[in-house]
Amino acid sequence: MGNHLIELKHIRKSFFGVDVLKDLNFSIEKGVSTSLIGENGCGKSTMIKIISGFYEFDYGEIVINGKKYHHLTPIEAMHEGIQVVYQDFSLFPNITVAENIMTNSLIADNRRGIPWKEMTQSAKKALERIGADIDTDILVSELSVAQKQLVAIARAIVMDAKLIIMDEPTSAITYKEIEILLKIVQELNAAGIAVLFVSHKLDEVKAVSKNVSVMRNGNIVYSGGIEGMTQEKMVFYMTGRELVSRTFIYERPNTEPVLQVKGLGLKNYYKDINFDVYEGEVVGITGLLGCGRSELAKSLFGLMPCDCGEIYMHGNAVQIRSVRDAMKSKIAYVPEDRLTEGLHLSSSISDNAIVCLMEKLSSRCGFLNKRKMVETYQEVLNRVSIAGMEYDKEVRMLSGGNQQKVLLLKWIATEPDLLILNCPTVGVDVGSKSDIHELVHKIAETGVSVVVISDDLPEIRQLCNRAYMMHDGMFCNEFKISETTSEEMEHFLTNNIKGREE
Amino acid sequence: MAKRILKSNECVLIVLIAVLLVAFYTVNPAVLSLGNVFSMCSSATLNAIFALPVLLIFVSGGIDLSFMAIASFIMFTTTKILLNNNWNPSIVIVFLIGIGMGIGLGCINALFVNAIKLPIFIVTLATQFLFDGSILAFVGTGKQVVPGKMADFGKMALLQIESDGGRISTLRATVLIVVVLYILIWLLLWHTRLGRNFYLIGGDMQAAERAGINVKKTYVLLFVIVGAICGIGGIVNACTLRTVIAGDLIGGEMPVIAAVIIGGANAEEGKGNVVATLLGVILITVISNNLTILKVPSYMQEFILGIFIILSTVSQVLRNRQKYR
Repeated sequence: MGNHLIELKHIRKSFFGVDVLKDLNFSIEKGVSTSLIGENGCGKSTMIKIISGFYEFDYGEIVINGKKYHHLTPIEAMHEGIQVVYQDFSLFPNITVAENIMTNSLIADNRRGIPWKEMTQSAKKALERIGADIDTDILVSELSVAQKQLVAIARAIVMDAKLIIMDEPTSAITYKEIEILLKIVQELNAAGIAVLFVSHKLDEVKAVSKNVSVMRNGNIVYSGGIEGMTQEKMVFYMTGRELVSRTFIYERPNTEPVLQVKGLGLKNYYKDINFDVYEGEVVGITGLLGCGRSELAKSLFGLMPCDCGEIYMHGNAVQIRSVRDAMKSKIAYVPEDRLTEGLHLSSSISDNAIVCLMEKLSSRCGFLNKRKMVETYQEVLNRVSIAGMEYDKEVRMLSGGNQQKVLLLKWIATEPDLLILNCPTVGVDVGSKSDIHELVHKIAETGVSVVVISDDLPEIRQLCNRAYMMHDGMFCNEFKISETTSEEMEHFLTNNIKGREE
Repeated sequence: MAKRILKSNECVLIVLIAVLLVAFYTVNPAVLSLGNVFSMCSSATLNAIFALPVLLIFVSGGIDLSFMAIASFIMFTTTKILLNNNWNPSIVIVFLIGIGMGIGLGCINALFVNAIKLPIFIVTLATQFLFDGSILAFVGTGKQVVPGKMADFGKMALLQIESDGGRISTLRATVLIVVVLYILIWLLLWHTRLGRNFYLIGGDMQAAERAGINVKKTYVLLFVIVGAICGIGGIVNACTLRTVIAGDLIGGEMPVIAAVIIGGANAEEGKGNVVATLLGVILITVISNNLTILKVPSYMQEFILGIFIILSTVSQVLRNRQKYR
């Protein structure tokens, strides 16, 4: 097997007596992109850290470029051309783009002086190689997320990378930027640089890589070419169970709609929005990033009040100018970014679960009723299984999927009539995603109306019975999921992209 | 490029200093006399020296509260050692003693920061009291007159100009120390790996570790350099005042930190540079010196300084926001 760049043989690693990697075998070919997928906690990041030398392994050997290692340091890994583009990019916000790109290589070469001019030139060359047009003199803190990613990739190239490991590279960038990234990966491959693409999103895996490896419980359970691999198979390997994807069947009751929106508009974001949502219905709103979907959701919850149009709840006109107004109208909103907008990360799970109910749980003088609190959070949290859940554990200790479940439960606890979910499963692994979908359906069956905002078409198809497509701030299509194929929906979405580019 | 320079903090500070000087000049033409300029230089000297340790720790992502306590400790202890041994060595040796002690005290700070992994702010909050208290507890109390050669250095003039009225204006030699230190630290921060590593740690410590920087070693060197500068500052203060009092200097931290902040340094983002820091010191000196001449009471001066800090930070934030658009 002469074309292997790196081979992991019988690697074992345990932390505090818990086996994280169990007799793992894995290899990457030269100049080829390989995808690594697996649920949270399956050992992906441990494996990445072993390949890049940050963790020592307990047993086994790593062969890189034909050289055997029984012990690999970060410096050795770097000299073998292994580079990691971390999820957080590991860039320095307070220094320029040029210095960010060149610093690691200057440190690796043990240069004591700072060759400012040479640095700028080399950085420009590296950016050119990946076709990125970024001013090298500005600070990294002024860049967009996608630009930061390109800078991180340029930095890896400067280090003479033979293997670039990209840890969930698409989780924070837009549709179009993802396309650019996928193109860059292909160019890197053409230049002989192998890429290990770690991702949750199965369609990207298919688009970008030649080989795919699936990890589960510290082992590689599947390794092979991407041809013949289907979404269903991947999910099966990742979770070890067949996930039934049933569409949501819904019959409209003979009542008036829970939510009715007429001619809603907000300058620069969206205009002339008309739609209604009935009791127990799950309605999707989809469209590309920047089409106004998030802003519309925020308007319905009073975060970005609309400037024209009418909103009716149960047939009564309501004014929603603030979050308090929205909560009074029994509207709940689960934000897109759970880390910064939704959860108190360093507070306990139980406190997070009942934070919206504090007013109900306190006496008239403002004292909290402890006993009632315990009863309430137990009731709230027992609605769905959360792995590794203890009531007093800090929320940040949970995985992304489980955090999202806590966030959902917190809002369900307010017993809303209308629940707005903004990208409910971003950065959540497949197993938890399916749990969350099930939870949403359960809520809808109790009569709560749900609005789901998402750019993930398969998700919309699985969750909703009806969906609107949004484009440039306006609704352009309405679909009944049971009467529309996914190809038709994708067709509309891509037409919108083309329309925008022209 | 030209726009970037015009919008830079340095440029805004220079304009501000110029405007202030003109404003003071219209009220009192003596502001721009050689005598006043020299006196502003003298009073800026100490703040300028102490601004460097603050700046160095700021760019490394921390806030140092112990720099004055270190200087105070060194100032008093060095004098005490010399007097007790009846020793009157050349000023170079005095400085070497001060620097040596500064390195030692800096190591204590580094030890706590590295070993207990506590934020610099908390460590130096503790060591500030530690150093301050140990002067009175172990070294001595009261007032001492410094040995002759130290006093001579304090009085040494770089330039002496007699004006028409026969008044002699003196530019003190201690200004040279400021010039040399600022050039050295500028070289350190811009042209050495170590200096850049300070910025990297201040920008993102985890990323710095991943880049292969030995963070603990860098912290030791940082606190050693900071301690050495504090030592120099302490000795300069002793020479200038010619008498030292236990606990002197302590309490003077805030104007220095204010100057560094006005100079655009920011511990949270690991930002700051030598030139802007010096401009910050000059701005503060121009304000307080000339207000004193105009007999504005010190509480009013503090009030005005507070307004300046708010204005400068607000203007920095606003300019940053503009950039994002």
